[in-house]
Amino acid sequence: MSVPRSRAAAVAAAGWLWLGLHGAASGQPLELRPLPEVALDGVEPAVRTLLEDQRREVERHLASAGRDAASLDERRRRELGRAFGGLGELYLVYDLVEPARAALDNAARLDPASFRWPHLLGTLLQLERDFGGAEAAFRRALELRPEYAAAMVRLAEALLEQGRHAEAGDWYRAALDQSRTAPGYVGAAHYGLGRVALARRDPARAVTHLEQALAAQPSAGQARYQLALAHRDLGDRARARELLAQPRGALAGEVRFPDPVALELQQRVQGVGALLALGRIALGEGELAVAEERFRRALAQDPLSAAAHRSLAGVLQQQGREEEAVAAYEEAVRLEPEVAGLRYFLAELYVERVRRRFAEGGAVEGSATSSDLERLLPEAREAARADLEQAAGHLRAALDQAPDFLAGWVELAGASAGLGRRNEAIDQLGRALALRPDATDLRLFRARLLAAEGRVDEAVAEYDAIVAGGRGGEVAPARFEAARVLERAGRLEAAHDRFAAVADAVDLTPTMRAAAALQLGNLGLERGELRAAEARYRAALELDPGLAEAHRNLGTLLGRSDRFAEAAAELARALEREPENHETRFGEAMALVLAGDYAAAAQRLEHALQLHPSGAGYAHLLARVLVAAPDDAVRDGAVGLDLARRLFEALPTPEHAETLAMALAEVGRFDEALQWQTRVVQELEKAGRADLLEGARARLESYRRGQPARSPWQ
Amino acid sequence: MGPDDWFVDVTAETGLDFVHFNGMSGRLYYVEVVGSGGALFDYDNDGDLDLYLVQGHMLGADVPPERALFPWRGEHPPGDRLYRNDLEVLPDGTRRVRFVDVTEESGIRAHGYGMGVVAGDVDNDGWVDLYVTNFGSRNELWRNRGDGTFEEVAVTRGVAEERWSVSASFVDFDGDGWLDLYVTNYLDYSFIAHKICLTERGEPDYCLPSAYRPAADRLYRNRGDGTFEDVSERAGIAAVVANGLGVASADFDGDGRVDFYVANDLMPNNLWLNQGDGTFVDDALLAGAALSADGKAEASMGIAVGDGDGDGDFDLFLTHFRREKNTYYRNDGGVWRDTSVEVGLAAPSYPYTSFGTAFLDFDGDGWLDLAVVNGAVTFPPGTDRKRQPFALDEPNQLFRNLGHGRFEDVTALAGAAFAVSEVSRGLLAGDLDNDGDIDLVITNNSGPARVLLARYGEGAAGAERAGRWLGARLLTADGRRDALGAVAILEVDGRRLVRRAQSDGSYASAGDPRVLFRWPAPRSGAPARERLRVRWVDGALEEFEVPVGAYSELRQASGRPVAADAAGGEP
Repeated sequence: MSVPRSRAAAVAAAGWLWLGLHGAASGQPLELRPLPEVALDGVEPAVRTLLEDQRREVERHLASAGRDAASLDERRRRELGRAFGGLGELYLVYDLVEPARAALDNAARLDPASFRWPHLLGTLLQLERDFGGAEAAFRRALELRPEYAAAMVRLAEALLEQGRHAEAGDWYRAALDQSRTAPGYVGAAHYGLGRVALARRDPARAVTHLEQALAAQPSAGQARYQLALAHRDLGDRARARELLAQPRGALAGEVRFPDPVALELQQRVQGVGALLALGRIALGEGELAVAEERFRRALAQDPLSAAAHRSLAGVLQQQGREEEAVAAYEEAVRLEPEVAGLRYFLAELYVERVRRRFAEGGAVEGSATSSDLERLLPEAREAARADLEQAAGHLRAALDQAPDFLAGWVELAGASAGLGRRNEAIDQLGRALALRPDATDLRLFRARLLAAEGRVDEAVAEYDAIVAGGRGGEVAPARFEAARVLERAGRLEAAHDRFAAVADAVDLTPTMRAAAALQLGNLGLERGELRAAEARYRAALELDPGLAEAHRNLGTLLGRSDRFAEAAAELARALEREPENHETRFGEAMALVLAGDYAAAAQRLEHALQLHPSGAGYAHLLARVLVAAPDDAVRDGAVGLDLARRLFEALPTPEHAETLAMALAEVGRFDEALQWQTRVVQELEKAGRADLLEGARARLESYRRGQPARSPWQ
Repeated sequence: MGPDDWFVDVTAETGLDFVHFNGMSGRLYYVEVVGSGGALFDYDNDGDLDLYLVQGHMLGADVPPERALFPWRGEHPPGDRLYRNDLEVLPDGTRRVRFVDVTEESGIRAHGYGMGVVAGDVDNDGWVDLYVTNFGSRNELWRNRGDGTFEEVAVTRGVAEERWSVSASFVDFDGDGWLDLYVTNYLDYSFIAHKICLTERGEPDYCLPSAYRPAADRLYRNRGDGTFEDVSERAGIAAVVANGLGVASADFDGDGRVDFYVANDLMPNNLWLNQGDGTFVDDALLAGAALSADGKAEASMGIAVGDGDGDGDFDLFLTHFRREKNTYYRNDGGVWRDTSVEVGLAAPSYPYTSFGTAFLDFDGDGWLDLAVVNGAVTFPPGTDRKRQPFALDEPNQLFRNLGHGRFEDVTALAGAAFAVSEVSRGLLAGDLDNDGDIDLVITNNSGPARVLLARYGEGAAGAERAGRWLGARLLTADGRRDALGAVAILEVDGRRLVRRAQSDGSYASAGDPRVLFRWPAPRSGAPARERLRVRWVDGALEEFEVPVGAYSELRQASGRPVAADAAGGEP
């Protein structure tokens, strides 16, 4: 596909005009550049009309000039020049570089007193990075309008890009002088002087200028970056790092300066394509409001442009204006319902909104499907459900058009799962996996949904497929979760073997192995295999000392083995990691009671009641300790009696009645104690609580002998 | 082709018949302008460079092949190709490169929409393997069985990246003796997420990358058995999500550890400095190598790493979009400066969109020159699309180093091979005929791959090529694997030339892993005084006796150990 080396030359050769005019002053022929032909076939109609009309205007002037150009008077030459200039402006706006260059060049020759043409020509050449040409044009422009600061800044930039630092500095300083009356150039001039200083290895001077540039334009990330480099070159890396520690994209902000001529040109832009292109440029520069304005202008020109609606949706989304973004996307989809991609983007927006609701809506953790709506607060739930339904609808339509669209199936499965339609989600993930069988993350998601649906064998099969694949971060959770699913399904033998394999697998993470060891401990505890269970718990804690559940269950196991002091210590460790767990807190106090450390138990229970004043369990155990502890220093019959009475009044159970009897005995009111304890024994006999009767009868006998209880708990 | 051409296109003579197929149908799928590259590597260990070229296929699930604007003409469905170099040296010393297509017998069936490839021996078995990056399907690891055949093992080896990857780098970043792998991922793009952008004139065109979401790169650590684990999170690489295109590895900050430099498209580039504990820190902004001199993120694509200014450390050359300059970051001891304007590389690069690039000393003066291949990614304004549906072609360029890192554009002098205008992407630099100069293979999107043999100074105007040379293949201690990342330093006539063993850099491509030194012939009567030292990846420094005018194999631990201090501040 070779073509001639210079396309520009080839295009120029096809030009239609070589016009010889005579310079009015010199009498020398004035040669105009030929205007290259431009292929306008694909150009949108509004732009095409503009270009063709303006070109006809040039032709009209040329026709009236005829070949006897030398006879053109000053006025008609100027008019011809302006016609060329107008055409050059349009070509410039629509990025038709070679024709723009020719037209503006001709305009400058025919209308040499006008500042506008050399300035725009310079702007064009600078865009094309022809800095030598731009320099010449800007110098000419400044001869015609010496006070135009934008041309000074642009000229300085052109010189800087040619490595002519001293000259660039002169022009930046000239712009700075102008800024006394036109302050909009302060930032750009100081920024340029800072760059000149950096290029000349003078970081101290660079800092001076760049700080002023940044003060003038605080959002100019460009200046911030250069300032950081200047500090770096001065050896102050800490300050440099500080300047660079900005949010993502913050360093992209450009140093700006007003150029009224260029601005006016932008306002003349017509055509959806041009406005969308200009909008995208603004987007790239982080100018969201400007981009939005351009996209809206595009829409005003063509309300049926799906691209304009889509672009507007994007910029609205970036500004966090979700509702408007959704509406714009909906309009784009309405206009182009057959474009699956649009539906997908819209669905993504709906899903994103649901995610935000989860982030803001007080969702709780722990669901197998991350977007289970039941986790949301009621007011957010219905809105989220509606969004997910919308998303699912658009995704289904997109997938009807593009059934091989993997991401669409995945997104749809997520929406279905979120709506609680797990079986649909399972099928949709099946479609996704048919397209990408080795997508283990999807397979894991599917396995979890199958498990949640109770489809145990299918879930385990999916987990096993992941493990058989032998790669990716999903293998470890798959091994573990398969065992969990089997355990919950009551297939303990199978679960045990799988947990054991995970716990012993040295290639898995300690956290994962610890979790498996914990489950093995739980299975052992459940089966009464205390020694084996204890070993598993300790193995779990060796792998992951922070595993609260292992500390807690080990404490429970030790308590069941009558190793109460060890149990209390283990539960204390658990409590450090899960201070909100009542079971652990109560368990520790109880273990201390059973270990005979009544003082510590009382202290823990009082603390627990401070934290949870309505904690009846803590109050009950504390009452027993206060009235029955063998330790004289711990007992306080009066307080214990008050506590026991309030407990019984709140909840009249046999256990509370017995505590009340113990308290009455402690304060010497044995007759009342006997009455209460007798009732307790009768209630327990009626209830058939043989496990408690022996102790209750023993205390009854004790009260008959006038002896208070000295064992708070059995 | 003239007798004094510096590079001569010998594609037809070599038998290379590869034509890239981009599968475009007029829908302007973004992916169709991005590929593809190739690799130079010695797969059969016969001492010359073989060639692997990456292929595309028809794009769009519902687009039949007959809709292709440039139909596929091959006998087989499009797929990557492996060419064996059957280099002949005739009795008169003439060298003849012949490429024989051995894809079928190699067992390679790479039919993904290919982007790039990098070569390296992942399992230390003495045979160079290939890692192929793809769009739309997972990347592939083709393990060289050593018998002329390959097997695909990406899944079982843990490197089956599914994102859209472009370039990759094999290097032993943790110094455990096994090659690790860095993969640049580009965009989160799919056909369904495809967009068509409009030009200022309302014509449909390819979008800019900013129209899509970027994808995070991936770093894989070799477990020491040829299998890999994904350490992107642990290493810190995953913290940055950018649209990566190019990657090169080197010890950029001179601390003795291998770092990575990543070229991102219109986002700040990354300089991942190796912390020595398995983690990396991106220091590109502070180092001054993330943005151009005017503080803008450029559309970085290709990377060349080399000591362009001859001061002993590695400079960076980045290729960019039209209306951006290509950027030369000079390394001043770990501090980088964009010196593109002052070194003369800015102005010639503005008209073009550049991709593959390489440092090479084509004129044998001891200074590293630069080659750049170009091809646009959006249509030039005013293109007649009906007549030119893929008018992205641009000529390639050659820059001569005038000494100390100042360059001049010598494209016009390089000959007819550099006057061709195509949509070039990959540039593979290597000595294809083992004659002591760097030849080039250029891959073209929707066009033929081209072989350019170096002929500087060999034409009618130069009776015999002046200057001297020596080459070396740097090998690990067991002699089995290229010691990628090792640095060779040649002291000759008071100059110190530094070259790096590498297969990464450029764009989506892998070049000759050997190091090659060229320098002017000594003045008449002056004794030759060459001293070659190698700094291995683990920091050990050794000195070797090597013949001039030939390639040698240098194994680690087989040279004379040199204390680092005594080396006088080697890089």
